[in-house]
Amino acid sequence: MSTTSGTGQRQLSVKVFTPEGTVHDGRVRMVIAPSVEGEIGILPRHMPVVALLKPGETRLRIDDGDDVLLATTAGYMSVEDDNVVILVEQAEHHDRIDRARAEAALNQAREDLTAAGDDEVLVHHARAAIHRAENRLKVVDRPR
Amino acid sequence: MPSQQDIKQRIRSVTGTSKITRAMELVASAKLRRAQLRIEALRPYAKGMAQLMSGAARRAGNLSGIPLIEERDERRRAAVIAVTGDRGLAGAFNVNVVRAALATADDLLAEGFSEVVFTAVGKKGGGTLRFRGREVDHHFQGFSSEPTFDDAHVVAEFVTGRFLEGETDRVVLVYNEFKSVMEQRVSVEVLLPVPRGAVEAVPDEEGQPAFSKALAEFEPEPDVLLARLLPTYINTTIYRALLESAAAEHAARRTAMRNASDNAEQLIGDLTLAMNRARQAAITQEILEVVAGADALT
Repeated sequence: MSTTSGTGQRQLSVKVFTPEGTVHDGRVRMVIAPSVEGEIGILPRHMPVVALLKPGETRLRIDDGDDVLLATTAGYMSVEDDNVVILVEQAEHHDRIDRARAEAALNQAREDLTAAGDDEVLVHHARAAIHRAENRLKVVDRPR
Repeated sequence: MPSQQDIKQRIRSVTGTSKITRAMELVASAKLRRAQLRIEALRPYAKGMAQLMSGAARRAGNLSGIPLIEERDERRRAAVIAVTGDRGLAGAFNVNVVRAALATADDLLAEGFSEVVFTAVGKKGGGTLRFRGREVDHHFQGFSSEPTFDDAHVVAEFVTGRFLEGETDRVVLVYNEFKSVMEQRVSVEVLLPVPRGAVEAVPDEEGQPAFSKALAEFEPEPDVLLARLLPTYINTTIYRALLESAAAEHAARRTAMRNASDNAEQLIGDLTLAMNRARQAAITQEILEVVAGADALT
């Protein structure tokens, strides 16, 4: 890391945690996350923020202009001292999402929901799977 | 004295059993390792969660009036969530939880609650509690060995719903805590209303409360955020309990199966000795008969 001042050289440390594990841990230039009050962009030296996130796409801009795209569920983001912590129930790397598989998963989940009847555990699983699949498809299909 | 044939038969059957217990021990070991990894994986999320919550609670200031936190004056009905396994053959694992859940119910009654209901997680606990004639308001099962966050969500939604509807005034969580591979301890925690200590506590050893230095901008307001965080906190707490319980179950089963395999081995040793003795006796008997026969001829 350079010691020169100015946002150009400074970076953010970003950690994306889910109950099932750490999805991303690294240094980035900028974070764009879907807050419930609209997209929120975080650059180095941002003031401390705690934000509620809605399901959508979280974008991490790495140093060389590459973006890491994550399909994230609802959750929270906190920013303090150039440390960004994102807590979501699920997060998936965009390039690891297989469109065909996501579609198949969506159809499967819809079938499961009809088949589940009144078994609440199954219904809940099916609903959660539908939300995940829809969010994945949304992120994959987004024009850029 | 049993014949050689009988003993051989028993050795075969004990060998068969020991093969099964050995296999179960190996399976439990593998599952235990996976369960431990999942507990590890949850830790950063849980820690971040607790930090956020304490930060939001500090900023929200007045915590009274939030239904999930507020201690109630009425003590009509309490719920005890007993987390057991779906399967047996794990030593005292399930019995310990059920016993602790019943003891907790007695404590709650002594504290002035007029009624206690049980919410059973895991096939075994629900069965036992029903058999003992206790009121079980819901019986979740099918995920004790590898619980997911979604599973925890279902349980959390049910107990939180009942609590907010006023069906229950307190919810206590009873589960096996995974201390180490050799040690499991039954843990009893108040889940609802969420204890103030849990809301405000700073989770880590570094003693660094979140947002202590600067005034953070909250989007939305701290009290709104806190209201949203609490259900997630409850999900996470239940998920952690399910994971701990799963790890404890596999550890308990591994120990139980190891003991069973060792016992089987010893039994096989004893039986082999008995068989050899019987064979020796039979040979001696035969020689005596031959000698006696030869003597009779001369």
